[in-house]
Amino acid sequence: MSTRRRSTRQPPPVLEGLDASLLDVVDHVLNKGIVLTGDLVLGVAQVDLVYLRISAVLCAADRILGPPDGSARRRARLGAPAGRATASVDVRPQPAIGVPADVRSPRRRGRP
Amino acid sequence: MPALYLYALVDRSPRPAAALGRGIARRPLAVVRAGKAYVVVEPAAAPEPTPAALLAHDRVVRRIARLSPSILPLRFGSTAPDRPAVRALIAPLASALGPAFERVRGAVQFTLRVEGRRSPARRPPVTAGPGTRWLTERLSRVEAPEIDVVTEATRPYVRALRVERHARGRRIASVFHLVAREDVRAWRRALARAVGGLPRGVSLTATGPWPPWAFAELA
Repeated sequence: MSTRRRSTRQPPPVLEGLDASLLDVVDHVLNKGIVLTGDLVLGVAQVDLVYLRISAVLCAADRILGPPDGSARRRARLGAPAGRATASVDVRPQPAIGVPADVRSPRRRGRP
Repeated sequence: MPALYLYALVDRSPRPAAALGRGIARRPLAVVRAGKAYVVVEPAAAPEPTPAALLAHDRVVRRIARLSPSILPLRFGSTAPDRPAVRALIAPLASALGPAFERVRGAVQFTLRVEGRRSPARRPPVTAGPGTRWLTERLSRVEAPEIDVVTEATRPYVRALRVERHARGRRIASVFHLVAREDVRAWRRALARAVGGLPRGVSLTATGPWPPWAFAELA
Protein backbone atom coordinates (compact mmCIF):
# COMPACT_ATOMS: atom_id res chain seq x y z
CA MET A 1 0.00 0.00 0.00
CA SER A 2 1.50 3.28 -1.05
CA THR A 3 1.35 6.53 0.84
CA ARG A 4 0.46 9.56 -1.22
CA ARG A 5 2.39 12.66 -0.33
CA ARG A 6 1.70 16.19 -1.42
CA SER A 7 4.34 17.37 -3.83
CA THR A 8 6.61 19.96 -2.23
CA ARG A 9 6.71 21.75 -5.56
CA GLN A 10 3.06 22.74 -5.34
CA PRO A 11 2.24 25.76 -3.21
CA PRO A 12 -0.14 25.11 -0.33
CA PRO A 13 -3.73 26.06 -1.20
CA VAL A 14 -3.84 29.16 0.94
CA LEU A 15 -6.05 30.98 -1.55
CA GLU A 16 -8.98 28.89 -0.38
CA GLY A 17 -11.45 30.26 2.11
CA LEU A 18 -11.04 33.82 1.02
CA ASP A 19 -12.48 36.38 3.38
CA ALA A 20 -13.37 38.84 0.69
CA SER A 21 -15.32 42.04 0.70
CA LEU A 22 -16.82 43.70 -2.34
CA LEU A 23 -14.88 46.87 -1.55
CA ASP A 24 -11.59 45.00 -1.72
CA VAL A 25 -12.59 43.20 -4.88
CA VAL A 26 -13.50 46.47 -6.56
CA ASP A 27 -10.32 48.16 -5.39
CA HIS A 28 -8.11 45.31 -6.54
CA VAL A 29 -9.82 44.55 -9.83
CA LEU A 30 -10.34 48.15 -10.96
CA ASN A 31 -7.47 49.95 -9.28
CA LYS A 32 -4.63 47.44 -9.14
CA GLY A 33 -3.08 44.95 -11.45
CA ILE A 34 -1.27 45.45 -14.68
CA VAL A 35 -2.86 47.60 -17.36
CA LEU A 36 -2.09 46.44 -20.86
CA THR A 37 -4.60 48.29 -22.93
CA GLY A 38 -7.97 49.85 -22.55
CA ASP A 39 -10.17 52.84 -23.01
CA LEU A 40 -11.49 54.87 -20.14
CA VAL A 41 -14.00 57.69 -20.32
CA LEU A 42 -14.32 59.92 -17.30
CA GLY A 43 -17.47 61.92 -17.02
CA VAL A 44 -19.96 63.63 -14.77
CA ALA A 45 -23.72 63.23 -15.02
CA GLN A 46 -23.41 61.08 -18.14
CA VAL A 47 -21.40 63.77 -19.94
CA ASP A 48 -18.06 62.50 -21.18
CA LEU A 49 -15.34 64.89 -20.09
CA VAL A 50 -12.05 63.08 -20.56
CA TYR A 51 -11.21 60.20 -22.83
CA LEU A 52 -8.16 58.27 -21.74
CA ARG A 53 -6.56 55.64 -23.87
CA ILE A 54 -4.13 53.44 -22.01
CA SER A 55 -1.87 51.46 -24.25
CA ALA A 56 1.35 50.78 -22.42
CA VAL A 57 2.52 49.47 -19.10
CA LEU A 58 5.86 50.72 -17.93
CA CYS A 59 5.80 51.81 -14.31
CA ALA A 60 3.67 53.20 -11.52
CA ALA A 61 1.59 56.19 -12.54
CA ASP A 62 2.90 58.37 -9.74
CA ARG A 63 6.46 57.85 -10.93
CA ILE A 64 5.60 59.30 -14.30
CA LEU A 65 3.06 61.98 -13.51
CA GLY A 66 4.08 62.91 -9.99
CA PRO A 67 1.71 63.63 -7.12
CA PRO A 68 -1.66 65.26 -7.81
CA ASP A 69 -0.36 68.49 -6.32
CA GLY A 70 2.97 68.20 -8.10
CA SER A 71 4.44 71.22 -9.75
CA ALA A 72 3.56 72.09 -13.29
CA ARG A 73 7.28 72.45 -13.95
CA ARG A 74 7.85 68.76 -13.14
CA ARG A 75 4.99 67.69 -15.35
CA ALA A 76 6.31 69.85 -18.13
CA ARG A 77 9.76 68.30 -17.77
CA LEU A 78 8.18 64.87 -18.11
CA GLY A 79 6.52 65.85 -21.35
CA ALA A 80 2.90 66.41 -20.39
CA PRO A 81 1.58 68.94 -22.87
CA ALA A 82 0.43 72.19 -21.35
CA GLY A 83 -3.30 72.70 -21.27
CA ARG A 84 -4.22 69.04 -21.47
CA ALA A 85 -6.42 67.35 -18.98
CA THR A 86 -3.83 65.37 -17.06
CA ALA A 87 -4.70 67.13 -13.82
CA SER A 88 -8.31 66.02 -14.04
CA VAL A 89 -7.46 62.36 -14.50
CA ASP A 90 -7.26 60.38 -11.29
CA VAL A 91 -3.59 59.50 -10.99
CA ARG A 92 -3.30 59.19 -7.25
CA PRO A 93 -0.10 57.44 -6.18
CA GLN A 94 -0.77 53.75 -6.41
CA PRO A 95 1.21 50.65 -7.19
CA ALA A 96 -0.87 49.83 -10.19
CA ILE A 97 0.62 50.59 -13.51
CA GLY A 98 -0.55 52.58 -16.41
CA VAL A 99 0.86 55.13 -18.73
CA PRO A 100 -1.77 57.23 -20.42
CA ALA A 101 -0.69 57.42 -24.02
CA ASP A 102 -3.45 59.67 -25.17
CA VAL A 103 -5.52 61.98 -23.04
CA ARG A 104 -8.01 64.27 -24.60
CA SER A 105 -11.22 65.99 -23.80
CA PRO A 106 -13.84 65.30 -26.47
CA ARG A 107 -15.97 68.25 -25.42
CA ARG A 108 -13.08 70.67 -25.74
CA ARG A 109 -11.75 69.57 -29.08
CA GLY A 110 -11.96 72.22 -31.71
CA ARG A 111 -12.41 75.04 -29.26
CA PRO A 112 -9.87 77.84 -28.95
CA MET B 1 -14.18 44.11 -31.89
CA PRO B 2 -11.93 42.64 -29.20
CA ALA B 3 -11.92 38.88 -29.34
CA LEU B 4 -9.80 38.02 -26.34
CA TYR B 5 -10.35 39.06 -22.75
CA LEU B 6 -7.17 38.92 -20.66
CA TYR B 7 -6.98 37.83 -17.02
CA ALA B 8 -3.40 37.35 -15.92
CA LEU B 9 0.22 36.78 -16.83
CA VAL B 10 1.84 33.62 -15.52
CA ASP B 11 5.37 32.36 -15.96
CA ARG B 12 4.41 28.82 -16.89
CA SER B 13 1.42 27.28 -18.52
CA PRO B 14 -0.99 25.97 -15.88
CA ARG B 15 -1.41 22.18 -15.99
CA PRO B 16 -3.79 20.71 -16.69
CA ALA B 17 -5.16 23.46 -18.91
CA ALA B 18 -8.69 22.17 -18.35
CA ALA B 19 -8.35 23.08 -14.67
CA LEU B 20 -8.43 26.73 -15.68
CA GLY B 21 -12.14 26.32 -16.20
CA ARG B 22 -14.31 29.00 -17.75
CA GLY B 23 -14.25 32.75 -17.69
CA ILE B 24 -16.81 35.47 -17.15
CA ALA B 25 -18.52 34.74 -20.48
CA ARG B 26 -18.62 31.03 -19.56
CA ARG B 27 -16.15 30.15 -22.31
CA PRO B 28 -13.13 27.91 -21.64
CA LEU B 29 -9.97 29.79 -20.70
CA ALA B 30 -6.93 29.40 -22.93
CA VAL B 31 -3.25 30.21 -22.64
CA VAL B 32 -1.34 32.37 -25.12
CA ARG B 33 2.43 32.08 -25.04
CA ALA B 34 4.11 35.48 -25.31
CA GLY B 35 7.87 35.17 -25.08
CA LYS B 36 8.72 33.73 -21.67
CA ALA B 37 5.33 34.58 -20.25
CA TYR B 38 1.90 33.09 -20.70
CA VAL B 39 -1.31 35.08 -20.85
CA VAL B 40 -4.53 33.49 -19.65
CA VAL B 41 -7.34 34.62 -21.93
CA GLU B 42 -10.97 33.96 -22.72
CA PRO B 43 -12.35 34.29 -26.25
CA ALA B 44 -14.79 37.04 -25.36
CA ALA B 45 -15.23 40.79 -25.35
CA ALA B 46 -14.78 42.83 -22.18
CA PRO B 47 -17.84 42.60 -19.95
CA GLU B 48 -19.67 45.59 -18.57
CA PRO B 49 -18.15 46.61 -15.22
CA THR B 50 -21.00 45.38 -13.06
CA PRO B 51 -20.45 44.11 -9.50
CA ALA B 52 -21.14 40.58 -10.71
CA ALA B 53 -18.53 40.88 -13.46
CA LEU B 54 -15.94 42.33 -11.07
CA LEU B 55 -16.50 39.48 -8.66
CA ALA B 56 -16.27 37.00 -11.50
CA HIS B 57 -13.00 38.52 -12.74
CA ASP B 58 -11.57 38.23 -9.24
CA ARG B 59 -12.79 34.64 -8.96
CA VAL B 60 -11.12 33.67 -12.23
CA VAL B 61 -7.83 35.31 -11.27
CA ARG B 62 -7.88 33.48 -7.94
CA ARG B 63 -8.46 30.21 -9.75
CA ILE B 64 -5.46 30.89 -11.97
CA ALA B 65 -3.41 31.81 -8.89
CA ARG B 66 -4.14 28.44 -7.35
CA LEU B 67 -2.59 26.78 -10.39
CA SER B 68 0.35 29.14 -10.80
CA PRO B 69 2.98 29.94 -8.18
CA SER B 70 3.80 33.19 -9.94
CA ILE B 71 0.98 35.36 -11.27
CA LEU B 72 0.64 39.00 -12.30
CA PRO B 73 -3.07 39.84 -12.43
CA LEU B 74 -4.32 42.12 -15.18
CA ARG B 75 -6.70 44.90 -14.43
CA PHE B 76 -10.37 44.45 -15.28
CA GLY B 77 -11.14 45.31 -18.89
CA SER B 78 -7.92 44.28 -20.65
CA THR B 79 -8.60 43.05 -24.16
CA ALA B 80 -6.79 42.22 -27.39
CA PRO B 81 -8.12 41.52 -30.88
CA ASP B 82 -6.26 38.25 -31.34
CA ARG B 83 -3.26 36.17 -30.26
CA PRO B 84 -0.65 38.12 -32.27
CA ALA B 85 -1.92 41.30 -30.64
CA VAL B 86 -1.46 39.72 -27.20
CA ARG B 87 2.14 38.89 -28.08
CA ALA B 88 2.69 42.40 -29.37
CA LEU B 89 1.40 43.84 -26.08
CA ILE B 90 3.71 41.68 -24.01
CA ALA B 91 6.85 41.95 -26.15
CA PRO B 92 7.96 45.39 -24.89
CA LEU B 93 7.64 44.16 -21.30
CA ALA B 94 9.86 41.11 -21.68
CA SER B 95 12.82 42.40 -19.68
CA ALA B 96 10.65 43.56 -16.79
CA LEU B 97 8.60 40.41 -16.47
CA GLY B 98 11.33 38.20 -14.98
CA PRO B 99 11.89 40.32 -11.84
CA ALA B 100 8.17 40.89 -11.51
CA PHE B 101 7.45 37.15 -11.54
CA GLU B 102 10.24 36.52 -9.03
CA ARG B 103 8.87 39.12 -6.61
CA VAL B 104 5.45 37.49 -6.38
CA ARG B 105 6.51 33.86 -6.75
CA GLY B 106 4.81 31.67 -4.18
CA ALA B 107 3.36 34.67 -2.38
CA VAL B 108 -0.09 36.05 -1.66
CA GLN B 109 -1.34 39.48 -0.72
CA PHE B 110 -3.11 40.60 2.43
CA THR B 111 -4.95 43.90 2.42
CA LEU B 112 -5.17 45.96 5.60
CA ARG B 113 -7.61 48.87 5.76
CA VAL B 114 -6.74 51.33 8.51
CA GLU B 115 -9.39 53.67 9.86
CA GLY B 116 -9.79 56.08 12.73
CA ARG B 117 -7.58 58.68 14.34
CA ARG B 118 -4.61 59.86 12.31
CA SER B 119 -1.15 60.23 13.74
CA PRO B 120 0.46 63.65 13.37
CA ALA B 121 2.15 64.04 10.01
CA ARG B 122 5.90 63.64 9.90
CA ARG B 123 7.55 67.07 10.01
CA PRO B 124 10.99 67.93 8.63
CA PRO B 125 13.46 69.76 10.87
CA VAL B 126 12.90 73.49 11.00
CA THR B 127 16.25 74.06 9.33
CA ALA B 128 15.58 71.58 6.53
CA GLY B 129 16.02 72.71 2.98
CA PRO B 130 13.48 72.31 0.19
CA GLY B 131 14.86 68.91 -0.82
CA THR B 132 14.51 67.48 2.67
CA ARG B 133 11.04 68.96 3.01
CA TRP B 134 9.97 67.44 -0.29
CA LEU B 135 11.37 64.04 0.62
CA THR B 136 9.77 64.13 4.07
CA GLU B 137 6.40 64.99 2.60
CA ARG B 138 6.84 62.27 -0.01
CA LEU B 139 7.77 59.71 2.65
CA SER B 140 4.79 60.58 4.82
CA ARG B 141 2.50 59.56 1.95
CA VAL B 142 3.74 55.98 1.95
CA GLU B 143 3.81 55.43 5.71
CA ALA B 144 1.18 54.27 8.15
CA PRO B 145 2.58 55.10 11.60
CA GLU B 146 -0.83 54.34 13.10
CA ILE B 147 -0.15 50.62 12.67
CA ASP B 148 3.58 50.57 13.43
CA VAL B 149 2.96 47.86 16.00
CA VAL B 150 1.47 45.61 13.31
CA THR B 151 4.16 46.45 10.78
CA GLU B 152 6.92 45.54 13.22
CA ALA B 153 5.26 42.33 14.41
CA THR B 154 4.64 41.00 10.90
CA ARG B 155 7.88 42.25 9.33
CA PRO B 156 9.66 38.85 9.47
CA TYR B 157 6.93 37.35 7.27
CA VAL B 158 6.40 40.23 4.84
CA ARG B 159 8.31 40.01 1.60
CA ALA B 160 7.15 43.40 0.36
CA LEU B 161 4.93 46.15 1.69
CA ARG B 162 2.92 48.90 0.01
CA VAL B 163 1.12 51.77 1.69
CA GLU B 164 -1.46 54.04 0.12
CA ARG B 165 -2.30 56.90 2.41
CA HIS B 166 -5.69 58.50 1.98
CA ALA B 167 -5.77 62.25 2.42
CA ARG B 168 -9.41 62.58 3.42
CA GLY B 169 -12.15 60.68 5.14
CA ARG B 170 -12.20 58.21 7.96
CA ARG B 171 -10.00 55.74 6.12
CA ILE B 172 -6.39 56.54 6.91
CA ALA B 173 -4.52 54.12 4.69
CA SER B 174 -4.60 50.90 2.74
CA VAL B 175 -1.63 48.69 3.44
CA PHE B 176 -0.70 45.68 1.34
CA HIS B 177 1.53 42.86 2.59
CA LEU B 178 3.11 40.35 0.24
CA VAL B 179 3.55 37.14 2.21
CA ALA B 180 5.09 33.83 1.14
CA ARG B 181 2.45 31.11 1.19
CA GLU B 182 4.38 29.06 3.72
CA ASP B 183 4.49 32.08 6.06
CA VAL B 184 0.77 32.83 5.99
CA ARG B 185 0.03 31.01 9.23
CA ALA B 186 2.86 32.74 11.08
CA TRP B 187 1.84 36.10 9.59
CA ARG B 188 -1.73 35.61 10.82
CA ARG B 189 -0.55 34.72 14.30
CA ALA B 190 1.71 37.77 14.42
CA LEU B 191 -1.13 40.00 13.21
CA ALA B 192 -3.54 38.61 15.80
CA ARG B 193 -1.04 39.28 18.58
CA ALA B 194 -0.25 42.78 17.36
CA VAL B 195 -3.72 44.22 16.81
CA GLY B 196 -4.27 44.45 20.56
CA GLY B 197 -1.51 47.02 20.67
CA LEU B 198 -3.02 49.41 18.15
CA PRO B 199 -3.40 52.98 19.39
CA ARG B 200 -6.79 53.95 20.79
CA GLY B 201 -9.15 55.11 18.06
CA VAL B 202 -7.41 53.17 15.29
CA SER B 203 -9.08 50.13 13.75
CA LEU B 204 -7.81 47.69 11.21
CA THR B 205 -9.58 45.32 8.84
CA ALA B 206 -7.55 42.60 7.16
CA THR B 207 -8.69 40.58 4.17
CA GLY B 208 -6.95 37.90 2.20
CA PRO B 209 -5.14 36.01 1.04
CA TRP B 210 -5.50 37.57 -2.39
CA PRO B 211 -3.53 37.18 -5.58
CA PRO B 212 -0.77 39.82 -5.56
CA TRP B 213 -2.88 42.59 -7.11
CA ALA B 214 -0.98 45.44 -5.51
CA PHE B 215 2.39 43.98 -6.39
CA ALA B 216 1.76 43.43 -10.09
CA GLU B 217 4.29 46.00 -11.15
CA LEU B 218 6.82 45.81 -13.92
CA ALA B 219 9.17 48.65 -13.06
